[in-house]
Amino acid sequence: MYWWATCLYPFMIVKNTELNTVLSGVIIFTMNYEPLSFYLNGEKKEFPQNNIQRLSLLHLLRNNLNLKGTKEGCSEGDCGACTVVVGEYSFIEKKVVYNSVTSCIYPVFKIHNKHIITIEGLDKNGELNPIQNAFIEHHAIQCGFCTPGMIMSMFALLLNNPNPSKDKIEKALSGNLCRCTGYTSIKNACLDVSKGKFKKPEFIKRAEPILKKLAKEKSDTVFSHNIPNSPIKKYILPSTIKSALQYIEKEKPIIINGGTDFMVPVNRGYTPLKTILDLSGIKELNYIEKRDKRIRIGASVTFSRFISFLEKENLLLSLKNGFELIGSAQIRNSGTICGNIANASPIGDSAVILLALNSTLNIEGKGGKRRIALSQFYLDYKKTALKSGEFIESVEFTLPEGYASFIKTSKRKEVDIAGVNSCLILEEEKNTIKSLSIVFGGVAPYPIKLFDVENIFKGKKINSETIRKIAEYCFEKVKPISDVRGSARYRKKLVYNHIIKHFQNLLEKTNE
Amino acid sequence: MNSTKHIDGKLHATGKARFVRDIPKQEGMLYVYPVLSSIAKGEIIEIDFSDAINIENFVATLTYKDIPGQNDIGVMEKGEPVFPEKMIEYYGQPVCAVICRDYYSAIVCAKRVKVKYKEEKAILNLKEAIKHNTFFKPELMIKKGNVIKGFKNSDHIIEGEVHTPIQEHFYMEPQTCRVIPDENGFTVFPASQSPTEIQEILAAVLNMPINLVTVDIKRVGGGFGGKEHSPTLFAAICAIASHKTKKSVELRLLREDDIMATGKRHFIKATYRCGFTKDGKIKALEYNISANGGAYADLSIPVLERCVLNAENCYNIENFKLKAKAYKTNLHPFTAFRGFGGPQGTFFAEYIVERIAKKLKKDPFEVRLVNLYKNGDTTPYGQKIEECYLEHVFNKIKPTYLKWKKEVENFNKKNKYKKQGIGISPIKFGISFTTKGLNRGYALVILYPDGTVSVSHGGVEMGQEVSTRVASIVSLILGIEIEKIHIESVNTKRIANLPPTAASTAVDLNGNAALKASSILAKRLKRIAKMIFKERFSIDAATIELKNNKAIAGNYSIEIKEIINRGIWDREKMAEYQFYKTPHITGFNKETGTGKPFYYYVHGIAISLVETDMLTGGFRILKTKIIHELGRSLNREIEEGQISGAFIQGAGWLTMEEMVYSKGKPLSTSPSTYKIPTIADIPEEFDIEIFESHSKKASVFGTKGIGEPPFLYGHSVFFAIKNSIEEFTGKECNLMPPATPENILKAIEGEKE
Ligand SMILES: Cc1cc2nc3c(=O)[nH]c(=O)nc-3n(C[C@@H](O)[C@@H](O)[C@H](O)COP(=O)(O)OP(=O)(O)OC[C@H]3O[C@@H](n4cnc5c(N)ncnc54)[C@H](O)[C@@H]3O)c2cc1C
Ligand code: FES
Ligand code: FES
Repeated sequence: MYWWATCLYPFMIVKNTELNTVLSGVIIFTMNYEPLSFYLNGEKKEFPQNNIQRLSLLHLLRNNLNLKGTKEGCSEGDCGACTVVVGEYSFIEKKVVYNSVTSCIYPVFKIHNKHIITIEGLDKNGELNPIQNAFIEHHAIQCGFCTPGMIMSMFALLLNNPNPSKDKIEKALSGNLCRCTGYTSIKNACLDVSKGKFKKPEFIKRAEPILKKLAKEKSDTVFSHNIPNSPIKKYILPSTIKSALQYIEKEKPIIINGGTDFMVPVNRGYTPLKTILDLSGIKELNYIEKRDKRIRIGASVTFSRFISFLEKENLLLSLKNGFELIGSAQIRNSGTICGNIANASPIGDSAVILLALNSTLNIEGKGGKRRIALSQFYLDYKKTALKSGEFIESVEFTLPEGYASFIKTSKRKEVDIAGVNSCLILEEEKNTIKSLSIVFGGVAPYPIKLFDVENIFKGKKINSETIRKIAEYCFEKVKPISDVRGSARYRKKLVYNHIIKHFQNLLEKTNE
Repeated sequence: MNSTKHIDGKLHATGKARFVRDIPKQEGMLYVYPVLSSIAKGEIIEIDFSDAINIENFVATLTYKDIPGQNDIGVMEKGEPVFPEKMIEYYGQPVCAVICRDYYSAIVCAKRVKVKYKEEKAILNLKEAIKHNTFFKPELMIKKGNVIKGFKNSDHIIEGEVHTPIQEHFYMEPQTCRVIPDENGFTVFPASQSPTEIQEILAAVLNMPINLVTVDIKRVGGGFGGKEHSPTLFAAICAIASHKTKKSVELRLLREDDIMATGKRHFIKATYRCGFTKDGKIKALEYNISANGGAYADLSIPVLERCVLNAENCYNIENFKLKAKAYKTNLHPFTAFRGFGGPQGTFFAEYIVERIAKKLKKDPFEVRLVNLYKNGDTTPYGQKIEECYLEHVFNKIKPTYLKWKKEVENFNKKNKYKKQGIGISPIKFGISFTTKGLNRGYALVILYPDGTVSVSHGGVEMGQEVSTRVASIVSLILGIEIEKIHIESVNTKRIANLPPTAASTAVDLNGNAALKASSILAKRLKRIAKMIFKERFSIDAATIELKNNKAIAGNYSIEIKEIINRGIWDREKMAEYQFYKTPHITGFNKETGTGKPFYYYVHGIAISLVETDMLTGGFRILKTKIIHELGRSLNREIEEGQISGAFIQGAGWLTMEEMVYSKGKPLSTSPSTYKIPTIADIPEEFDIEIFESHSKKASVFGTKGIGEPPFLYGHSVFFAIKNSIEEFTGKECNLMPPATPENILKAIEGEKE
């Protein structure tokens, strides 16, 4: 059961990608059968695209390249056993960044022109990497099945930040499950190696200028392959919006970006798709723009890149936790904010936050660009206002004044889908409500903004009476369902309590 | 010895350690994938393969008709089929299977098989099963003293019902098996804790003599009991596929199918009646225990046995009466899981003790203290308590407890919606299989002329580091450094007729056998060395020490490899096969409800301090302190690793781990819906203290079994949460595990309504 299909809504992942009208004009396709070309543990590799047997990077590593160090524990991105590191040039940060990714749900064609580092690459000439030594030294290995993935997550963290804090270590490793150690020894090993014992290996440094160069000279790439019994026959990585639109028109592909939602059912042998178009290589979609108080996030911006941006610019810190609580480091490294919006899950964390921020979507399509308020975007369970052939180019919003708070309630603190999540943004004036924005996820077929709440409570004094009334109002307003993540009754209760807690947080903040 | 690292640590850290799925593929290897039933109970009317056989890379189908021998893999009780011929007994039961040339095609192919059923009414929970009174035999009973008298002498009596939840093992390596045809039999590579069970059952299923089936297990990616009996079914499917196709075949379950189809920790319910004095001393305790035993007997009876043998935990109860049954239901089987019923039994006792404290408005620490076992006491099943260290560990932890208690009081005064609580969980966990005949260990130690050693023993390595520990023992006795010792896979042609690797006994049993084998060899080496010393240095070495790969006599030394060489050419036996059986135990007699099933007990105590958010039902473990008794500590890192891992697994069981079902269909079948703890869930401050009791009853080198007992420390987290809620509501709450946010909010609300 994948994370969103566990809601009792009908199972569906594909949006309508049929083109209604065929545009006139010439579409030129260059079907180049060039091999999949990438760096693997410091060495250049080429792999004939026709020999690709499955869509996941993990399969290529284990079965085609015979690198069995990377393990498979779940095939759905949720255990971390298959973690590898991807080095690629970031147009946002203007440098090569290292991302841990769960290779089981990483579409293999994405590795084109990137640097893949696996557990086999860490020891050089018989000498172990300091992380490997620390794991052995601290007895951070029991059955060992989680070990390679753990080490790779830590490796990615240290490549970006050689002296991470305890919190950063926890964040980096919370997507790596271990059923044996209880993590104490793993934590000790990681803390130890974070005390300046780690240096970026030479083979990694050597690849950096090449990665930078390759990123800049990207062209469209179309792969076709022979996955037995898979209807997925073509994988398109366009390099510009323009060519993407042309491919979309001609091929009617399913559009993906990080693939974190898309890949889960593929591994299970279900998927009714033929052609995939992956937006992640389009430089024009890979930006975060800040103009005065206005922020605009391109379609290919991952959660991780956005979090780094917020940290660097010291922005939106009260809501940053919402993004940091999405999935694991590996998921945040691949999953995009716009993909999270488009996926239209009832509990999409970024959708909840962005709705509360009154965001607007910029949409690209054959008919040109259009804008739509995020609050108008969701129509029903997994149904959006996107028309066929359209994709989200970016999302934008104005930085809020006043107080903002995000709460996510789930069974587990990290790497869990919310039972209920909510975001509250409040501007006050002399202790009365000037504006109030409240959004809930997990209580309706899609995240909902309670518009009336602002009208009803505007101008009211902020006191326990008002807070209770707001909570009661929200409680009455929502009509959740029961599923594997909680009963309807529990969800309603959470709605009430979230409101109390948001104001409690506000109180604590003002008392500080 | 104390700092010996994981014997295969380097292999794991570099990704070179091989699990079954990492073994190089055989030429033409095939993949088998089971088709799982989509109903909980009913008759198979028709299996339609027509869609499946058309796909690319399809090779063959597999049904019960392809089984050459017996269609039964039951161990404790017969009647557990590989593929049912007619009746489906649980949702997710393998109905048949398909074989393809690649793994992905096998998954797709299995999905295309259409099975038509005639559905019948299933028994989906314990309540219904009790109503039908369908249970696995025998019913268990234990009796001590006279409860009627006990209740009469009580000032208070409480009654109620308490239960513990189902738990999924979630070993990181899903069920896997590879079968390779030999010239006249098969070699099986299962990820299993039970090599002998697989060997014997596969021989019966394949209709061939046991000596033609070889089982070889190098390591398992986590077992926890989930690879004790569960792998047998999948190994059987894999073997039948190999038999039919005459090819090597691999079976690898997807995680969702693994959770769907394999056994789990028993849901157990206890109704209890407990009488006690105004000081909190328990006078009488009466239990009626019912376990959800699932569709087949599996290991339900032995699990229930250990549950009832632990239902008084650390407390001396004069008058005790217990009845217990494991009921048959239409759920996946329930099976071994770390603690094997012990966690359930002890949880009941601790739950009751907490209630007594609430009732009397006394400190639960003190109530426990009043009731603790002392030397000379007798358990309800008649085993005498000797070498008891409970009072000692209580007194040792008391100052910390009192300090935390103050902190909590202060915090709770200042905070409205966040409350803290402390939970306590002491342990007295018996070690030995409660079936006497299983308490046996085996080791084969071979010396080679280059001074290296090969050790085979009966314990499957699954992360508990039995290999490292056995190697340490051999190294110490032979004076040969650990780098020169190779621990072999458990191969049923080298080491046979084994009990499963379970019950925290692997090191006790096999370590002792290895100790015996290497001691004999050491003696032999010394005898030969003495001769060489005499010949070469003309000394009469009175004492010879084996150390650092040398035999040392005063200022003289010779290399051990030289001694081995000499031994071989002098026609001395340079290998030893040894056997060990646990002394002084009688096993548990189910008929009389008595026995001396345990060689010794392991003692300890944990306290945990949690902070619970009364608005969201979320909690954090702020601190945990554990004092764990061992006879002697031999490798502190391994011991702490076992304690830490077991504690977190126990805490997960009672808090976030929740199996959710709909009409018998497991819904929480993926890591996205079944949540095991992550690195962010461990106590912010975690202190493990090992108390070396130098107990004479301990096992090899004075150590004690350590795999299971610390699982019980997880209880402390649950009771801490319960107490924090009661701080908020001001009343006793009826929180039942798992303490998910939903159940926590329910417990809070329950008190307000
Ligand atoms: C283990 C795991 C944990 C997760 N945890 C969380 C969590 O805690 N909270 C949460 O909210 N989510 C969670 N998710 C889901 C989250 O990763 C995704 O929703 C992610 O944000 C989707 O982005 P993507 O780029 O990977 O989308 P993809 O998988 O590439 O696409 C997802 C869907 O959106 C469509 N799409 C993608 N980009 C666009 C675009 N620009 N325009 C139009 N359509 C588009 C695709 O067609 C597809 O239907 C989790 C996922 C996994 C696997
Ligand atoms: S195998 Fe579990 S995350 Fe990839
Ligand atoms: S060591 Fe076994 S899962 Fe981590």
